[in-house]
Amino acid sequence: MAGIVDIGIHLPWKRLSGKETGIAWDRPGRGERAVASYDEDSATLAVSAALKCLGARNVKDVDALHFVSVSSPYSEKSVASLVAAAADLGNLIRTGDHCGSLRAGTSALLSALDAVKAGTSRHCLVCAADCRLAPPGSMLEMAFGDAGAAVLVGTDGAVAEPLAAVSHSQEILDTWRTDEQRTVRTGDARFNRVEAFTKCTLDACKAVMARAGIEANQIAKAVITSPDGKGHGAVAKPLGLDPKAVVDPRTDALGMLGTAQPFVSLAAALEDSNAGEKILLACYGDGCDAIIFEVKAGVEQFKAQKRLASPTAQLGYVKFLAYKRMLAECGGESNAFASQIQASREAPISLRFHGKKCQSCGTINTLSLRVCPHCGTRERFDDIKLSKKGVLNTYTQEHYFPTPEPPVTMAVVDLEGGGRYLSQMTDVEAPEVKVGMPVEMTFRKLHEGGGFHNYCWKCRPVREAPK
Amino acid sequence: MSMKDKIAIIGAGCTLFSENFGQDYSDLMVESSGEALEEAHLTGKDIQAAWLGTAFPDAGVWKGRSGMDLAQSLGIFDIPITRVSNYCATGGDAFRNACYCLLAGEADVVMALGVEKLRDRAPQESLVKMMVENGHPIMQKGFTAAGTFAVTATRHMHEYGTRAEHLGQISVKNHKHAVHNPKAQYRTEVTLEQVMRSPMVAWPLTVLMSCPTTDGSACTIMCRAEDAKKYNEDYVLLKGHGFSVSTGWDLPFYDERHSFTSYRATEVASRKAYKDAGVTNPRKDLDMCEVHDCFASVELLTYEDLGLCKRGEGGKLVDEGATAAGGEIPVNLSGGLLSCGHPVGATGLRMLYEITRQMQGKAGKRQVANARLGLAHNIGGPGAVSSVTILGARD
Repeated sequence: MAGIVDIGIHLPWKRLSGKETGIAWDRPGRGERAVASYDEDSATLAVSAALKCLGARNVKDVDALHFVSVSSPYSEKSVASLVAAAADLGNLIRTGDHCGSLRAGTSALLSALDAVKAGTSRHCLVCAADCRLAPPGSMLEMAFGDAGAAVLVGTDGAVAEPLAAVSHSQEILDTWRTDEQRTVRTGDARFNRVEAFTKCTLDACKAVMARAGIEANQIAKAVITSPDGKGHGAVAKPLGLDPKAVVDPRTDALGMLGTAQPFVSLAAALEDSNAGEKILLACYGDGCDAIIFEVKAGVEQFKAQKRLASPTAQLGYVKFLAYKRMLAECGGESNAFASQIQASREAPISLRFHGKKCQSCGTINTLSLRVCPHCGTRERFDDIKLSKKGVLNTYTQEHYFPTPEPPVTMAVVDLEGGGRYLSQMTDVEAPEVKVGMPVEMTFRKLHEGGGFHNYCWKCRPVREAPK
Repeated sequence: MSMKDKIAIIGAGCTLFSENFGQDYSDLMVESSGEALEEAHLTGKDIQAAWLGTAFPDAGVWKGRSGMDLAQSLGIFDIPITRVSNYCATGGDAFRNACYCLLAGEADVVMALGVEKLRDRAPQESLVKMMVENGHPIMQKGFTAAGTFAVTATRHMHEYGTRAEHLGQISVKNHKHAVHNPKAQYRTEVTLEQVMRSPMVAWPLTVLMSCPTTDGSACTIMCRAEDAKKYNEDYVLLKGHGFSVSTGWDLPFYDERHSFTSYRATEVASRKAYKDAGVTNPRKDLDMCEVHDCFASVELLTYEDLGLCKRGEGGKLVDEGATAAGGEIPVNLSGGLLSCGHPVGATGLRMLYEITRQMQGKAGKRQVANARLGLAHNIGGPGAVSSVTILGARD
């Protein structure tokens, strides 16, 4: 039986408060939203979530990876293949990009469940991430949040298995963004709520409950996602769901997380569930996917981790605009040289984070060298995975390197198990940097040289999640 | 083979190191070579081979990509001229290659000339831009030149308790020395407080712990020692030279065996030069050093790499005042790169110019009494390449 084996959530470090935004626009404000750092995008959020989901698992049997986003960093180019490379899943993998609809996450999940059920894939990884842009000053600005979520689908040790699924497709224009538009557009709010979201979601939920033969009172948790993170109550009531069963999407704390939202909420629901319970997952977007899951024994292990507890720091509104590249003249961008050809050649280190261990002297080299600098042996290296944990050997803070978040901390990291790597440090406040501090590697965007996204591994302080 | 007493410097020249807005790349060369030729009683036509040191044509004015830029500027044709580029050790390397030519007997009179024209562009557009925009798209991205040297300061402070104020004191000392150097860009004393409170460039290095962006040229003319008196009675002898490339541009930051508290290239190059010159106790045997203080931290590490003090005691040497004018082993009496600036390809030859004048007793208020032996040191790249030259007074 195919089911959800695990879910990884990546929430960015920074939060923008409604109060801070309110001060900027001279109006009252409340709540918070998650903000991806200036060096994060949907691809890097997806990678971070994927790595959390895979954890220490043997990744050799992930046969498919789906990238899901309505804010993909590329309109034409697979990001699934980038995520697969950065998650070091090997080249013999099916990759697919699911874009365009807020429902794309559940659509990809249903495809993954089908593939595993059919036996064409042993594991499928569905990586959904979004950093949706809203017009500055609009209500959407605080309504949106940035996050990544990865769902591992497989057969063994499932946390939840689908009992029934229904997909309702509806051609309707309520939320959109054309190729020419950077920011999301929404039409009439009442029309969107009543005619689009509520109607489709009710229809799909009723159908899936009928298909599963389940009454509303049997549903222990209902995850209902709407484009603005609201309105789930309006659906729950006519369905007859217990209001307490409806999972809070935490929109007031994180914002509506785009295609990652259903999985973030599902993870929260599962962490609070027991084996045998039924969960309704309904995801709206140009129609609605509705799935009834039964919680399985694997949930006990799943509950040990608190996926939504993550360290946070506040971000000022002006820096928020800079992060989102809404301040056209503020600088902070380097016009760095980049070569698509060189990038391809160096992917083993820059994307997969592999090193080369000298077969003669055992030195772990983190440069793409052909001759060991220590013993002179030519072309005899073993390809190895480098550790993503290490200790800061030395550092400096660069005040003249263009960045939206000066100064740039340049960090020399000694990796666990060997190998040294120089990288920028991110998600850091300058005064907390100390020689000897533990750091972890995180996949980020470095610059836009060459007219494309240049990704690499940065390091960041290891932070405890709040209890 | 020791190089001791086989080569003589018969002429040396140096422009004002500054923002020479009125001079172009060629004007700088004409001025430095003119002073050197005049001293050697030669004209350009007497030069039989030349080495042109320019490190960063693309950071400056796209001049200095080949020896032809020296030929055209000085009107010297039909001789071999090689352009040398070896980061900040470029000047020292041009000198080394010219000496080798004399030792090989391929020419009798040779020129080494270093020049860099950086201030036709704003500082942000020249050397800073080089690392921000050029180079590898990912490796080292985030560094400026200051950062590559700042990480050594950080580690030295961590391991040995060195303080940022030690770096500040080096800047204070060198600025004080420069007051007496008419060729220096900055000839104003600074206080420790000014150094420490000047804008941060790359922690812990402030602006006043960093060399400025500068135009300049320097030149030396050499012959074999036995011919020296034919050209100039007041010649100076090469006593020793060492040159080493000891790591790479990227490698130190990705190499677990790299210490960040020492530049191996300096150790290797200086030990070879000491062997040539018969120097066994550099702190005693040498009368002065010109060392590569592109950033104050580099001067501190270089004290230790040259063996002027024990490992980890660079800060103590500063506290003792041993490297200040009048001290046991004065370092950077010219004001160093911190005051003279650092037109990259010219710097090594500017140091040789300075030591030559010291050996001749012509260093004005900077003169060390009875100077017999002086050392010039460059370090280039992230400490990967080093040139160490020891000059001595003639008998």
